[in-house]
Amino acid sequence: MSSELSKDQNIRVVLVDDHGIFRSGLRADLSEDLVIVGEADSVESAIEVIDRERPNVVLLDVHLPGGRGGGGAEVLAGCAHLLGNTKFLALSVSDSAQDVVTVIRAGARGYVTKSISGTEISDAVRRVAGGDAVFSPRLAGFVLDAFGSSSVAAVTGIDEELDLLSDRELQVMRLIARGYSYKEVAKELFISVKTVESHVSNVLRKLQLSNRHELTRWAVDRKIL
Amino acid sequence: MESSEQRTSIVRSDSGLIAGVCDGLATHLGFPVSYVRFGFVALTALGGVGVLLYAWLWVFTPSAEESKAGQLRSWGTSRRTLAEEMGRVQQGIPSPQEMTAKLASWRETLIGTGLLLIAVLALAQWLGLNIRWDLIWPAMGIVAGVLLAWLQIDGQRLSGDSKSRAMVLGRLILGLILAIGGLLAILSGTVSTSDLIGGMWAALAIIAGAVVVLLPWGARLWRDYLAERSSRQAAAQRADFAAHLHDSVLQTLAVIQKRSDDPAAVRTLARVQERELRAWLYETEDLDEEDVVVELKSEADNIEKLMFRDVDVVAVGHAKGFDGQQALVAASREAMMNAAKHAEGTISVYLECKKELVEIFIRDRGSGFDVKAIDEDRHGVRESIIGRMDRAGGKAIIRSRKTGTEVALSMPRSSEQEEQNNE
Repeated sequence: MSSELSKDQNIRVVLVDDHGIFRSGLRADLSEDLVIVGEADSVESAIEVIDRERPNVVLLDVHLPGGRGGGGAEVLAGCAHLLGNTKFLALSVSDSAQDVVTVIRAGARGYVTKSISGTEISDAVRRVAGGDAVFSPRLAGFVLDAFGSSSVAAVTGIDEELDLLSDRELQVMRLIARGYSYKEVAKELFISVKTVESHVSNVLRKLQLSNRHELTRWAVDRKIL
Repeated sequence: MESSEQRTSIVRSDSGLIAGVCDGLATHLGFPVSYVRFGFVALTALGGVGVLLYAWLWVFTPSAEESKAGQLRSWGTSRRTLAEEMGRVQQGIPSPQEMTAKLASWRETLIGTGLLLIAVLALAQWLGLNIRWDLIWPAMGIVAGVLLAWLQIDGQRLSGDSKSRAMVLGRLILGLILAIGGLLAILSGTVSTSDLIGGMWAALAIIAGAVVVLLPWGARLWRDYLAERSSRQAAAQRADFAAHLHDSVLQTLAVIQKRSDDPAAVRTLARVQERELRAWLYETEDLDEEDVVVELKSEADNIEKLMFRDVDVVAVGHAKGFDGQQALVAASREAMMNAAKHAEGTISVYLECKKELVEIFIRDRGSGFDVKAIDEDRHGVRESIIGRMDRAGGKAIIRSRKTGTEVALSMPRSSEQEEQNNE
């Protein structure tokens, strides 16, 4: 993807979360090669810090005070011009559909819950920094729910490029939903991890850009969009 | 209405003929409704006292809905247990259709009674009695006008859409005209017409003056009332949150402090509490108790609580009432239990409801075991999972590796068993 990082280069991270306790816990948990260059606790300060520091990755809490009440999604909107170089990984205590889909549609490259371990979150940060997407089983479940497991291409008004998942992508999503890691998915489907990553990135792009009728209705039903 | 030892205060019932006064009074006094109704009719016959008493009670006693709203308001500021909270939600409010059906039925009764009364009076006049029609018609006009106007207060709230609001206003004006017209007609018997018209102008002038002076005050009072009402609602909501947090989160935090030496228990307590709180805050979907998704999640919750383990459930789609649902859920429970007993790490559960079959995958991160080497007497796997699924017409596949074990369960939804195409 756009900004490949060399192995020895440290990944610069900005932490955005309104809970001081959580920030300090995360600081202690993140592995050594991740350098925290800034912290913020509100929408305004987050946009300012990110604009100044231009980090590789922003760990972004979904629920943030300040701004117009839009939380993490508002920070993403405010940093839209940086999205090419700065990757956002959304964090939340909640794994409810509302939170997940809103930030992903706003441009986040992945989503993890706050109960995740330090190693897992460090891995997720590296993955996002490398241009890949981070899908939790829950997020994969949402995608399968929203795009439907039995897509019918014959229905009119569907942009095949964006509104349908390929069979392979569905398989990958299902395995992730079943709790498989990318490596395990690759082994299961006899493909390389790189291929799994590209499938997941494709799904993320579709999730962000699709105007598929079912997706909208699904989101409206759950009061998300 | 339930009758208790202590006498309840008068609350107008919402299942009454006119405004529920008789019904409410009967509940209050402990008499049958028919006695009270007869009493009012008898009092009415004795020079109309019954009508006045009825009107007086109508104005000064709260309707059942108002009294319920009052209870809700005071409820909001008191602490209560979760059970009470659940009970309150389930009580609900009678559906609008029921209410309109009731309204329609009593309206017919009322009209019938009125027509019957006129017929009786006409008959009496025909028989030679001197009926004062010049008093009866205006009196009926007044009663009809009052009924028309007052029933609006009980029937609809002003917050409706503009159409229903216009209708309410129309009825109110019609009722006003009827009542004023009736009063004027009665007066015209004793006062001359020219005096009456002059008096009317005077009255109009007085009313206009009063309105001009008092309108800003009235508007101010109305605004105050609205502000007071919304702040009271906000306070009730805050109290609601505080009560819930007290009952759930604070209690759990106390337990966590006590058990701080047991990391697994602390973790599970935190997780269970988190789920419960999230369900309370965000759960807007109506959950169907019999849905396989709900059943599986509640089984997963039980295992979390029982075994102090994390069980992650991801569900896609919904299904209920298919053949073998019970067996599927029971086998899943068994598989989750095995995973919780024999393996470490998070247990991932994935449920997918397709058109033709329901699939459940239960995966753990244990060191795995040899599926073929399971002893015959190990009921857990052979009987409760494979055997159970087979008998119910489903399929169970167990795959075990060094990195974990996965139990794949599938149950066809239609009667003819479809070949599953998942590898």
